[in-house]
Amino acid sequence: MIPFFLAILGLLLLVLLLLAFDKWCRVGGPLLALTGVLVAEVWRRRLLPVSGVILIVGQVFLPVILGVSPADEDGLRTLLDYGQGWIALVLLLVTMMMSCASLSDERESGRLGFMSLRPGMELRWLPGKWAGVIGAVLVMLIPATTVLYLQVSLESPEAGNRRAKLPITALQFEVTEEDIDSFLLFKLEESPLEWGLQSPEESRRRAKRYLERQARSISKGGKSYLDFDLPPTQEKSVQLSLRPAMGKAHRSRVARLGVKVGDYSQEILVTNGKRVTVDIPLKESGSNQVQVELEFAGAVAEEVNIPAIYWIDDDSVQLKVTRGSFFGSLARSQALLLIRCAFISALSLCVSTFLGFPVAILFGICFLIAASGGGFAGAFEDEGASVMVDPRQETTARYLIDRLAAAGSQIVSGLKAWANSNTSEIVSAGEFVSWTRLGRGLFIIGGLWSGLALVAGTLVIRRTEHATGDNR
Amino acid sequence: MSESVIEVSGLWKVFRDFWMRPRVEAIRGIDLKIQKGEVFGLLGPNGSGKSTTIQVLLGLLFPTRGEVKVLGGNPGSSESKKRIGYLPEDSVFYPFLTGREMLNLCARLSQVPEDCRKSRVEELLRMVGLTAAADREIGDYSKGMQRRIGVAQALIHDPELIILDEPTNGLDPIGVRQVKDWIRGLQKRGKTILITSHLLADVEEVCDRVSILYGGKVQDEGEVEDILEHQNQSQWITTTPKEDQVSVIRECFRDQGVEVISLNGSRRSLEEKFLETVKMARSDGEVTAGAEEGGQLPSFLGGEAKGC
Repeated sequence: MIPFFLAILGLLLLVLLLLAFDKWCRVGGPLLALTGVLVAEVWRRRLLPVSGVILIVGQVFLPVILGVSPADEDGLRTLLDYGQGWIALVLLLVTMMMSCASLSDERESGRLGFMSLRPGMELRWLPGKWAGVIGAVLVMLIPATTVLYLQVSLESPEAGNRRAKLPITALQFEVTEEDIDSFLLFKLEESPLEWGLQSPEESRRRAKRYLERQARSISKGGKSYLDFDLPPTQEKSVQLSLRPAMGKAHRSRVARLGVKVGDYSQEILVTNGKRVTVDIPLKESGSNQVQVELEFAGAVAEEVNIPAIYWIDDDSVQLKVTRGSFFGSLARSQALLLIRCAFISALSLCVSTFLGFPVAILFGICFLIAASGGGFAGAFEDEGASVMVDPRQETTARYLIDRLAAAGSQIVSGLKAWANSNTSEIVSAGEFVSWTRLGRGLFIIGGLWSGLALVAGTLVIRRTEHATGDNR
Repeated sequence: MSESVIEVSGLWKVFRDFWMRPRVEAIRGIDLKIQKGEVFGLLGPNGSGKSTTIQVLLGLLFPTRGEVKVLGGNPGSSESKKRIGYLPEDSVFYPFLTGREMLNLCARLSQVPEDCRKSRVEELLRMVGLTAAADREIGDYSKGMQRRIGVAQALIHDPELIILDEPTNGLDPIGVRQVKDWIRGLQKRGKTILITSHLLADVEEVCDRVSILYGGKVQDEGEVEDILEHQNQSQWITTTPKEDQVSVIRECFRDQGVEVISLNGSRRSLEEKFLETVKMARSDGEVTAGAEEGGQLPSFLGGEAKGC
């Protein structure tokens, strides 16, 4: 009964929002007139209603298809993960379709030329259509997100009311330039022959690696002290989240780990690669700094030898503080999805000014595939910066190749911003999506990237001939 | 000396392929001058460069060589766009918009003041006989109805210069008659009109001057009357003479040294018969899904009652 009710509610919301948006477009100036045309196009050519029905009905029946219930923690996480993934998949594809189909059709039918005869149209084409696509995406996004939220909160009211957690990474995981400087100073005094003969860049790179390794591992019987800067909080406890890696040991192997925070101490069992959380009471000390002492006591089974445990990713050791509501995080995460759709639309519109529909779609899909790997971009960044250049090899060809590589590196690091704006996993894990992250996404992806794509597309339109008849 | 609305000198347009190699020389050195208030016809067979010339005048195609001035400015400038109305040869309107929505869109894009917009749309719909079909999507319109909506959108912002590319193409004889009447009416209201067509009878009836293109060049140009004057021949229309009178008349002409080349009995044209039949059907109240009888030019089009 609930899925049926949710489907009706979602579709009703979709139609109401569309009517409201359409009405708003009808009262505006020339820019909104173009926006209204795009809305009419995607609605009357059935792209928006069909996609909307697929999106909402798919969303409603997702728990049935996945065989999960949001009443239990694992089911809730799975539903949130797949639910947001489903919404993102449909919306990103529909965005590309709407943007590419609309402008390619205008170009190929000669309508682009004909409509360009109205004053100021060259400047309004892309922004008008872009606003239309964003509006259409918003019209679909709001009901789909509402349905997802209702699915979670109707089945499990406490899940809907739960608080999101803000993960905080250990200060030691961020190796700063100052850390490297003081480490090198110490090492140059301690063993000048080992550290003094290397080039400064090589020494710094080595020092950074060493410090990172030191912060991110505990050898058997050893201790590690990790400091965390907590934001001001009224909560009486924080959650310590751990996911250790134990080298090539089998996933089922278990180790003992001592946790000590102030007066509180506990020994816990941790499994290779598996996340474990511990609630730690907070004492009112007036300080926002918390130090966690971790002691690795070795494997549980005597015959197993685990020499050390490692914290490979930044989220391997985190303190989580309650911060904001689950709904707020979900809403910000979906706003970031809207921003990504806005960029995909701007990019698709830009390439559609000179490419036909199928090629433009292919281009957009290539971007999405490349961007989904953007999270790995960090691996290249530091390496690229410290490569020594032999002055004797500074030929023109080498210079050009270096510049190309630098440009490529910029693009890859730019795509990392795209990966950072994908926060669906964070929401699924019950974590907090910050306003800062939303703001950064809005500025970089929604403003900078989309703006560049729209300007480039507008320049192409202004520079291209757009005849309306056989001369095309 | 009246003001020139369009001035073209030494215009060349060469279409190039992807590698920028010349593909087609569509226009080869055209010179053209169109005065304010004139109805000018650009004639020529298919591929003679008529539409290309128009697209250059509109700023949609860039000239390869030569100078083009439209309404005193560069073609494609924002200022000239506000003052030009254009009916394209093909129907390039949004098929998913209704006729009324399309006109409303064009009015908004042309920045027609909001208080005038609605009345102009309704007046133009009435003029082109599409009031009853105004809420149907353009994709469902017949070709003739699409031409009519095209004429309406070209006039929505009360332009000074109206460019009509094959305006009678796809229209029924009633539509053709109406378009010709509108053109004459617009000229009386001070508009300058440029028409391209290969339907010479239509052009002959409405144009003051014509230019005949072939192979991208102007082959002949001048006043319609001058161009069509048959050298050393004239046509008289009289009441039908009786058999015996014919021979007397021939004799008479021969005596005066005038040769009678042909003598034909006069008959009604098919167009006249068609118009009469449709008029009768309309007066009998026959219903049609297509365009209805159009009306007069709206008052906002530069006439005496200028306003919305």
